[in-house]
Amino acid sequence: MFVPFTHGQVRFVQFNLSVIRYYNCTVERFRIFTFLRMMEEVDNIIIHSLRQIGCDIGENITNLSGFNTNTELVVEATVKCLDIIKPGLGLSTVLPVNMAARFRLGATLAQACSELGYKGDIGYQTFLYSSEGDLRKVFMFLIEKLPKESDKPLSEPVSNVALLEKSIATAIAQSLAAPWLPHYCHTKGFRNRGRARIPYKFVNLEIPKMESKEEYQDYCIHYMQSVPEQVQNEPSFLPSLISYNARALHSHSMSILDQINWLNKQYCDKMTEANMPGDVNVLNRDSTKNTTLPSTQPQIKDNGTRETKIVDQKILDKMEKQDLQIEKIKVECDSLRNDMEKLQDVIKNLTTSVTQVTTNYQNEEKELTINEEQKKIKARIYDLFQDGEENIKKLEAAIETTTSKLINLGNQWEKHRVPLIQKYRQEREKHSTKASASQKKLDDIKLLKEKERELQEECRNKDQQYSQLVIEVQKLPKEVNRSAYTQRILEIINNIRKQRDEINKVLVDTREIQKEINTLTGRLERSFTVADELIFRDARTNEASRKAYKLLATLHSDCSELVNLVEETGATIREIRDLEEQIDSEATKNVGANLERITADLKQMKQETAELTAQLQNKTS
Amino acid sequence: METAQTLYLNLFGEDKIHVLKELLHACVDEICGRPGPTYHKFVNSMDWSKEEYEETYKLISTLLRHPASLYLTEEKMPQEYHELPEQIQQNILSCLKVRREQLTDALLMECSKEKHETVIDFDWRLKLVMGSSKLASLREPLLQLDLILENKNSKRILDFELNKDELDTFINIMEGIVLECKQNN
Repeated sequence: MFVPFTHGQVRFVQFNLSVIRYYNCTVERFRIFTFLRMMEEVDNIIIHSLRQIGCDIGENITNLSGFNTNTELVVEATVKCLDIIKPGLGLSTVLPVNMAARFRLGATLAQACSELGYKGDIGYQTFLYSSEGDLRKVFMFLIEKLPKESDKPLSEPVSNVALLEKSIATAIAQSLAAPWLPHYCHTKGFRNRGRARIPYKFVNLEIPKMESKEEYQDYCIHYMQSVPEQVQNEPSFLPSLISYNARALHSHSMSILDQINWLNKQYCDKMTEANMPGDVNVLNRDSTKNTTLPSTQPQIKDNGTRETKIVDQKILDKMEKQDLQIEKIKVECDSLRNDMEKLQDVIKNLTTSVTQVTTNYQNEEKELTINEEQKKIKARIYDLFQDGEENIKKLEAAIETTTSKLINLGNQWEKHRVPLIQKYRQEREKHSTKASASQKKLDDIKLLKEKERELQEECRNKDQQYSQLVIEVQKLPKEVNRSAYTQRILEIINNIRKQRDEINKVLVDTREIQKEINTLTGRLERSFTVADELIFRDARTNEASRKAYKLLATLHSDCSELVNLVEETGATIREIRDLEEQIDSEATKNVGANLERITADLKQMKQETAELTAQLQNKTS
Repeated sequence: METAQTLYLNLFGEDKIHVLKELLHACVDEICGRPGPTYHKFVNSMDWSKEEYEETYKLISTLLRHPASLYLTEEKMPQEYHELPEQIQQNILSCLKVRREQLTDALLMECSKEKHETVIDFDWRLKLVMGSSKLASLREPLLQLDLILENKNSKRILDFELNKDELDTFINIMEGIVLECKQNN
């Protein structure tokens, strides 16, 4: 009875185990598969962006595991990333030879990363003794932090011209910051930069020429100062040389004689100017000189011959005559001048009187014309006075006729006026209606124009947007293979979908198995209780059934033990798998290789310290 | 006074002619703006008192400064010249002959400075105006030109700013003046 039962139980246990194993295997395989695919993608993206930054990554490196053994590459890539994210760190991309410097570099890199907001565990070991997973995390973080294409041009100067302009702008800003001062207030300031420090003071240098004249040669040999002597102070030496050269190149525009003439003229002018205030005195002095000279000269030359005396006498006579003439002429001149003045006065008086007379004349003529008009009117009145009454009558009649005429004309005017006024009113009304219509139309036109303007503006804006967008499109890099990316993304999505389906299938399977297990355990329980009861009832009477009951009890306990064992084995298998996983993850961190490197570095460091201590000892000794 | 000065000049005998020549040239040097004669330089060779030296020096320099003496002819020489002994006259004349051009240049410069302000030096700086109170961005080069002028007894800087057109007109006018001077000759 219980053989099939036990058999069934064993089968069930076997089945259970196989299902669990199957399930575990599929999940594990699936997990590993997806993990590998994902990592590959991530690595591809990381390496691609690193290459874009300008890292020199070899073609043979396709994933980050290639970085593991290459510390230089890791450091270079991180430094370049950091440089772009936060320019001005000033780290070198080359790994230093010295071990201490290496550690320092690693520590600074780690610090920079954590300053940027990296939350994971990071230290110098991340860069120097790298594990694939850590590196991946760090690079993913850094590449996410890289500035996007759109804000790149803002941070980077475009060309040399822009750089130059920038430097000019800074220089000008500096100069603008300096307060304004007139140029003579400061000789050193920024604004005064460019002013010649040494004034251009020159001396006309003289350098001996090839000339055969004896006097010149004598001068050159004996008296000419040497060039350093000619120049009094050193700063004026160069200017003197320059002006000497310029003089040699550009000859004088005037001849020397002209120059001398001009100089003499200036001199004479100056002398006369100096003597100007005493002009009359000079004349007098001349005359006195003329008179005194002859008197003194004879005294001096008294010892001379008589002939000269006679000649002198003659000259004296002549002089006296001339003096007399001059006096006469002077007197005449004075009298003439007086006459002139008198005559001029007379002329002035006469002209004033003429103007007076002309004004009088004009006034009187005006009066005359007025009087003549009055005279005409008066003559008419006297004519009419001769037969007054008749004339009055005539006048009254004439007045009457004129009044009647006026009334007639008034009536006629009224007749004409009324229809005209009516017409005028009608026309005015018509006009006003027309005007209002035209006003309306004008308003319409204005509205339309405004609309047009708005539309034009809109159009212009759109055009601008369009052109901007076109420029942006042109700016965008055309090499990005967007389609490849999308395809990959689609593939990944498809994969994920497939995997989800598989997972779902496995889940359904497990659920079914669970259900089966439950029903089986239920049936087992029930059948056990039935069997138990049956055998227990028989056991009181039958010895064999008592034995059977005992056996059943032992069988039941054994089986439950077996089930427990199976469950335990499952748990241990799971544990084993977990441990294997852990081993794998540890293996990926390639601790062994890192350890080797660390020991090598330690050795190097020890060596370096030993060298340094040796140097120190040498120095102290 | 004049007679006294001539007397001092008479101190130059036949054997002292080279000292006279040296003094003459030194005086010309001074007029030309170089280091001139000093009493210390001539005291050993001439054996005279300071007063005598001063008077002689004054006479010679007034003679040399007189523009009429540049004609190098006996008739046009100033009056003081004729009162000197013939030998000294000869020496003065020969000195003038040698140094005529330099003296003329120096006297011209002096005369010009006396009459008007004369440009003796210039300096310039180029500035780029980046903006003004009215225009935010404007790139106009401006030349700041300093003309250093000297008068009889003062010296000043005449400075002005010129833009490109103004500088062109300024240069054209200057060139026109030079051309006119050349044509007049």
